[in-house]
Amino acid sequence: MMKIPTLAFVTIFIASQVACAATTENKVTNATAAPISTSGSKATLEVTVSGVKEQSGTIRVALFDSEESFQKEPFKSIEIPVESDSASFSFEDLPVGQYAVMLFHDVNSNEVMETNLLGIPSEPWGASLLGTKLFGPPRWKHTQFTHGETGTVFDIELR
Amino acid sequence: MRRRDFLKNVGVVAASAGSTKLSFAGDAVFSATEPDSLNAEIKAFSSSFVGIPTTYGPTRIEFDKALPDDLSGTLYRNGPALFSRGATEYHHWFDGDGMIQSFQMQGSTLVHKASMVQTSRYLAEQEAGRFLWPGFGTSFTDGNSVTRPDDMNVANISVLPVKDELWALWEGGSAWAVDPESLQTIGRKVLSTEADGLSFSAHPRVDVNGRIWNFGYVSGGDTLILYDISASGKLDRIKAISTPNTNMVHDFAMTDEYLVFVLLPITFNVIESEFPVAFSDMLGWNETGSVHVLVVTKANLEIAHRIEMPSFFAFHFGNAWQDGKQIRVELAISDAWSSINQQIKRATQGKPLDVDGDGTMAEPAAVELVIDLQRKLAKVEKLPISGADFPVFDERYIGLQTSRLTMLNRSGGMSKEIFGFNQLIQFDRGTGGAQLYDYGPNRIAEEHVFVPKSNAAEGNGWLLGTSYNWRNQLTSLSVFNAASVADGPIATAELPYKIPLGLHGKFVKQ
Repeated sequence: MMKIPTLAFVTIFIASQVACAATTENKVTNATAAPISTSGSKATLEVTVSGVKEQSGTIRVALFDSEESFQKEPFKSIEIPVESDSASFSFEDLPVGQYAVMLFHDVNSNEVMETNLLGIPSEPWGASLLGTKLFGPPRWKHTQFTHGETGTVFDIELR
Repeated sequence: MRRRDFLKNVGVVAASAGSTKLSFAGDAVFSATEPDSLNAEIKAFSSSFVGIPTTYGPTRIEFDKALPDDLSGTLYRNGPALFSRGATEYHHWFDGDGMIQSFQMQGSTLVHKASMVQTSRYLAEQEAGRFLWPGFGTSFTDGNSVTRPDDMNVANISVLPVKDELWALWEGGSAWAVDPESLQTIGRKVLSTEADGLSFSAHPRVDVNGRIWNFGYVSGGDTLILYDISASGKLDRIKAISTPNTNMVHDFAMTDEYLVFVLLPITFNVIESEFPVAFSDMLGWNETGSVHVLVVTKANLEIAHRIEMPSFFAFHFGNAWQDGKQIRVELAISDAWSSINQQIKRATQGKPLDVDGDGTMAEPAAVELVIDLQRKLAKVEKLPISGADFPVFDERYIGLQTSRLTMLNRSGGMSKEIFGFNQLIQFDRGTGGAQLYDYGPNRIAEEHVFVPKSNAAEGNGWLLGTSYNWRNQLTSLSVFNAASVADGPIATAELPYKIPLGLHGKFVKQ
């Protein structure tokens, strides 16, 4: 079973309640809305992952559909092989609504995101930030985006 | 509560001052009344950061007198050095990227060299031609996200020699390994998966067996991280302990049995903004908060005692030891955090210090914190030297009672417009007296480290330190006999240039 990529980390300088600007304007501007496949109230979400540094393991992706389930119970998950310095995945026929993507590069293929004592990831990770600046761990409000009838396309850079 | 009020309220025990010996350096005294002179004083501190190269030397120069053979070795110092890149500038001393200074000395020869610590941040910003991440006290409206402490790591506070490496220490994140000979950056220290990227303070304590004890802190997380590391740099134990007041913790003390933390009521409030905000802007002071004194047993890394006491601010510790059922901790108490922070910002930017208002230049004081383990009480006893910080002692006797405590101080002759210190002051418990050496009004003195004389009794050895003459913009290295500080330096070497005013260092004997 797919493990949830937990990113609930606390850091020095970074309180657990840290919140950063998550402007809706950023998201609209940065998310490229493209008419991919529309079928009633469903459309495709297409994501490209860049910044892959090590050619090993897999990228584990979790898609969340609510603040309540964020980083707890993914709505959908997917595991994609790493073959180059970028990777891509899509969720087809995804009902329109609010979503957030969290992912990590499972470099050593142990199905767990390596973290330090405090939960700060030591394997590369990414999130559907779409230009939002963070000071601390990503939360639902930083990562959520609107998936409309025309579908959604964006990039996530590993950090 | 301000420091003076605190000292008054807790009924400071002032020991007799004993005899005080004093001497002055020979630098010419300039009038401080001329407008140009005033401007030079205001910019005295910040002038040390202007036009700094990314490497120095090796530069070979001579001391005015030969050094004792026993003093052959290298003084390493770290400090913030780079304050501007492209159109971006730092406004706080603690922001600058770290530069390691190496003073290799033998006989009458000094070889100086220095290099920037090439952290991942440094390299990314070098490529970008600008600062990208917020610093301790500066942020950029178009700055990058901070998602792990090391995003902000500038490795600029101190150094720790470990086996074949020199670790450049920040306090918010990882240590960076540097080659002690070439000063080339080796890489970020990952002591273990658990320790990867955690806060690692710039004031580790090395015990009499060479074991390295250190801590990290979690702002907003009520957590201290404790490290027990072998002399060769292997992490043997790491533990997170829960305690209030861990928003900023700079230093600690160690006895042979305990680690002692003095946790201050510094607040940490995340500021909602469209861009990452500087750390220092999120810090504040809880006026009604108390200091938590935490005594941790080294054997099991468990909290043995927790004592609350009236608040004060302190950066640096000297030695600590057990005295029956008491622990005595040497400590430099300072004025309120917010005023120190404001003064540092003004000094870094070459702006006039607040010499009259509430932000008066911090007036630190050397004190002993006396922790009564039986009665669960802690009190402050003032030592007979005042206005001092950057305490050093004979570290061969760490955790055991030491007689000599040496610090930096300000003389009355130092303009109020100048940030920093210009005196070396040494308190001797044996005689109850103090010795002073005054660098005069034109120099800013930096931390002076203690180097023990081989096979000599406690406190016998040398004090080594740099001072910056802001008038002629040259830095000197002076060597004192630790037993006769007031006699002035036994040898001095003047560099043919200035180096940026830094923070802490360590001496490695040859």
